[in-house]
Amino acid sequence: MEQRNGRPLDGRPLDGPIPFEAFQAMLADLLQVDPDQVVPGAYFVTDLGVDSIRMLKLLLRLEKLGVELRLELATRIQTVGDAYDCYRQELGRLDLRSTGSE
Amino acid sequence: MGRIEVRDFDGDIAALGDMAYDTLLEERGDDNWLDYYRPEIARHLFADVPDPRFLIAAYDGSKLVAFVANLPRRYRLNGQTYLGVWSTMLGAHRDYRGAAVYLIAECLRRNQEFGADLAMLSIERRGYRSREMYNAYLRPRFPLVRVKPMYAITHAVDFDRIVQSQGLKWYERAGIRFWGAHRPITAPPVAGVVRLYAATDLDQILALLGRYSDRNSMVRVFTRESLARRLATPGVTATLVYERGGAVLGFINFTAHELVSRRGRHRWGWLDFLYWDGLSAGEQRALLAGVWQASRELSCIGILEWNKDYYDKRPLYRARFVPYPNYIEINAWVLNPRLSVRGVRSIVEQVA
Repeated sequence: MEQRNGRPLDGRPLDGPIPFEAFQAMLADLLQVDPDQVVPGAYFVTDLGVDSIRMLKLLLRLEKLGVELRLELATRIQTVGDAYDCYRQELGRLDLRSTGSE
Repeated sequence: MGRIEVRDFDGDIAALGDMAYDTLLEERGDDNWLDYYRPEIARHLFADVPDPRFLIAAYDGSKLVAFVANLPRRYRLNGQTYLGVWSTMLGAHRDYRGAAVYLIAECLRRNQEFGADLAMLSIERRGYRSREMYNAYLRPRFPLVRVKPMYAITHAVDFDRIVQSQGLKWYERAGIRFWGAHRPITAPPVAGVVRLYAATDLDQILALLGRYSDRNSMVRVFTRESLARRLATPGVTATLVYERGGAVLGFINFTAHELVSRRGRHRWGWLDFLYWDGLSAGEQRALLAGVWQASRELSCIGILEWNKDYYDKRPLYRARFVPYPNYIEINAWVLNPRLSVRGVRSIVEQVA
């Protein structure tokens, strides 16, 4: 199901962030690497050989998953674990924000 | 191999050249690239950098894996002065290509930190990674504005070496010969003299540059010292002046750049800025003949001119310049929402 800002577009209740295994599979597909290599400690550039175009695709995909990542902070996303943590934290922040406004 | 650390460049220009050469040779193959990484050129470009924050590098441990120069500039437009940078020399080692994104991100962060109004950058025509990054991913999401396309024209200094270095096809060789762009540019008899720039000419040259005024032009504002360096840096830039009656009435400044590919390394004279309004056609040709001769003495195989759109190009066509098959786009990443660069037709060089 396509999502925006971490929420399904059909308005069904939010189930929370996708599990790491699903995130891992999504990254492997996006970055065209072996899923077994996509472990939390794997560095995108040095371990997975991700080039600049695929790095930008990764940032765009995170944005589609609801991560409002400003480009100037991209240097923080160096490992698969960094990306997943960022995704989870951002969804949590969004969740808190929406709770606070209700 | 592990975490990429983005920090100020450590100043090792030799390591920078090695990193760029390995990477670009693989990426470009027979296509030329402009070697800004040649130590003399790099030092020349970095001479105006006031502190290390403007040269940004990515390291894997102590190994340089990517680099970008974010050279500070001042621009004037519609009476306002703006703080800018010229972002150039972006390159990443072939095993660390993704690090280029970290450098773009860090450029953006630092530009915001020191209050830049805009970042100027040039994007090549051909489909290299940098162009794809800009056009497919960055341009739709950020305020990247095309300022102007730049096309080149050229005249041979050593035609045989141009044929070899560019891999010219038979019809291209025939066309250049037919047009006459392979012949020396000779000087007609004129009343004045063409000679190399001397430091005592600086004030007269500044006065000539100051005559350029057009409301559609953006001014790149030099300091007197930095413009003097642009006019004459041994092994890098040179300037020919036309003097009549003790007054400097025109000049052409050029840089000895090297284009590199698998076919080798070849030097070209790039016309940077000039003033020749008011000179007769013969005097303009005499000035060009001086540049042709000086380029030959610097072992250049040809002369290139990128259209600046603020001076008369007819003397170049009369001297049999022909189109050079490449173009770049000058773009501005506009960081100040009150600044608009739309409608800018040219960028002239003047002293504040």
